Amino acid sequence: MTKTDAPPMTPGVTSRRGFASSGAAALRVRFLGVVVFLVLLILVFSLLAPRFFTLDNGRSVLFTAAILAIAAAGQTLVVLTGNLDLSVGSIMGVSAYVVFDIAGGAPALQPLVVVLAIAIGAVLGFINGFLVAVLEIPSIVATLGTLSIYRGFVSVYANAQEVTVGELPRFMRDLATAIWLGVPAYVWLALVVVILVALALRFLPWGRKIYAYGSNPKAARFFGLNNAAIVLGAYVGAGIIAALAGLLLGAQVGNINSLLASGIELQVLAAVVIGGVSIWGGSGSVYGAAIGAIVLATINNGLVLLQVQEFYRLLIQGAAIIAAVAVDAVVQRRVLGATSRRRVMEVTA
Amino acid sequence: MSSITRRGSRIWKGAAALVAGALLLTACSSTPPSAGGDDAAAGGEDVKIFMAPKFTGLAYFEVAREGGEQAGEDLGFTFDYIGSDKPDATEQIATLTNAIPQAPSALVVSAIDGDAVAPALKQARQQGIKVVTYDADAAVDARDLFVNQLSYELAAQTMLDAALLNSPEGGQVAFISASPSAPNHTAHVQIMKELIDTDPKYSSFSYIDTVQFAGDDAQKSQDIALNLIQANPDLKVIISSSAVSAPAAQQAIINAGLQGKVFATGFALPSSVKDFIESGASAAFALWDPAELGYVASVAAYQLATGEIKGEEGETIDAGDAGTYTIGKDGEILYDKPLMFTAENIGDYDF
Repeated sequence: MTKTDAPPMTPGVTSRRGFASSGAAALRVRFLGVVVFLVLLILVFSLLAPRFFTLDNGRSVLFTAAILAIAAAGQTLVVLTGNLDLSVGSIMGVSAYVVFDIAGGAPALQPLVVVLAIAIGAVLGFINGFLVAVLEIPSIVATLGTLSIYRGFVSVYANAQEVTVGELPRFMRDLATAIWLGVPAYVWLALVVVILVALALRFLPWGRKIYAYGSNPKAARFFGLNNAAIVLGAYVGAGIIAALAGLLLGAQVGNINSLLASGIELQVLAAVVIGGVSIWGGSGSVYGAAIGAIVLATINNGLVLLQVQEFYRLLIQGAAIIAAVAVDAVVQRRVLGATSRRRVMEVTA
Repeated sequence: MSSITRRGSRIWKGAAALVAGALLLTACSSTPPSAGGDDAAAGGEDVKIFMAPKFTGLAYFEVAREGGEQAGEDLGFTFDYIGSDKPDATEQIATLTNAIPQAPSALVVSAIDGDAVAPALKQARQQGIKVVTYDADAAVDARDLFVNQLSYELAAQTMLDAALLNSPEGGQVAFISASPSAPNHTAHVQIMKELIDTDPKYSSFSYIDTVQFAGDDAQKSQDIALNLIQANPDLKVIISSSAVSAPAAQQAIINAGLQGKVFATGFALPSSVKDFIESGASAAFALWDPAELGYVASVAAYQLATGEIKGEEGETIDAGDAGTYTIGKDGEILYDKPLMFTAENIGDYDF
């Protein structure tokens, strides 16, 4: 395979070229869009709820966003290839329960919880990737299946028992409560994961191929890329990150049952979509997804501060998702329109 | 690519998809019914009792199941445990509907949504199946008996007593429930509010009117707890009837470094709060013995099925060591044995 820079089909990775590339422009507009949305949210909540704009509350919002942001970073990898991973919550649940159950029974293994989680995430992600990339089952069906299978596995494994707080490794519990430089440790960890994923997407061939494939799978094959390997790689990456998020969530909730993180896939996808990652693949950034997670956490927090009930939270969250996708569609059309005009001009010139 | 190899690969892919589909189906029915009392049908009568919790996979219901299995052994009936692992009313309706053709003598049910499952339970009763609810009641005309772990009043008092043990000087209280369609949670919160308003014992408390719903989800309970603490600087105690939400909220308080300043309490399994109580982060949580509750409910179902009782007001149910109970109004049997877990006794419980 030849190393391709593939400029026309990688709008996501061309930020180095600045605004010369309309793809990068679209990405920036979209990223700015979600940042502006977040700022507006903060403004509105600050005006309505006096306790909203305080250091303490900000810290609290970031803490509740941290795990969602990590899971969204993993999901971004898959969404960039134009696929979905609906099994993210089940992977988190399997990882948290199985790893902490093993570590609880064998204290010698406690230092290895991260390694165990990575191994579980890689295997479950590989299964997803195999179904989607090799067997070519549409990702929504394949991962809906594994959502059920992985959850079923942890249900059978757990046999209706709980891993209780006392069984968790001390250092993981301490991590959940740690404050580093005035900010919860989980927030720093989320920041590290998001930056690492962003750097990997930008500088590693693995990451650049994900963007290339997502923008135009047919062209990617034409350029000699191994499409199945790219999708498989994205799912393995997403699986590992989901498993790590599950590990952190397990340490955070303390008492872990087989239902941990069930249903979280909708929140994760919402964060990714609100954050401007195109569900058609190939465009969007992991930073956007992280901001998307903060947007959701901010909405949840602000509505509790305003004493608004749960049902309205779901309504508002749904509206935010649709608004985000609508904005996406408009931006894309504008950019496409602009590029095609320019092409026409170039051709006529 | 030749058409033969293409067809070959397509067949292979189809087969793989079928395998995946089959796996999916097995996963969906991932909770095999237990054969707990199969060997115990010594009574000669073919009494078969199905216990259906709100959903499987929750330790609390598992303890109640042990009680039911024990009753099966003691009285000699077949005991099966059925249910879906999803906390969803639709799933429970499917479970109950599918149970009817298997013609059990009685169903012992914790209703995830008392009204939603009522039609399925009524259908069961029309087929001659006796219906006993435990833990969470269904509509009155959809069941024969309801074995209530604690009267709503006693449950509310017990939780407020636990709150007082944590925060003797009272303070502001917030409530987290599972869902607005959980009748016992709704009633508990309503009565707790009334008690705070009227009972001098609890007059040192005030409460936040809006109830938050966490759907028995640990992470959601934690997020809500954190947000409640931010929203209400004077918040002292978070109370939940959910055995998932109460310990999760306490863990969130510890994570936020606020232990000793804010408390969470309510109903929880002793195993899940042992660490909090032993470390001094919490003074008290409450519950009842779920195993004995499951035992009493299964005994009641057995006696209904054998015709020993008709389920009428004033009849008594003799559950041996678990006690004797009288059927009250609307077919309600009060179990009413609250347990308060504190540093003194938490080590005595093994569930």
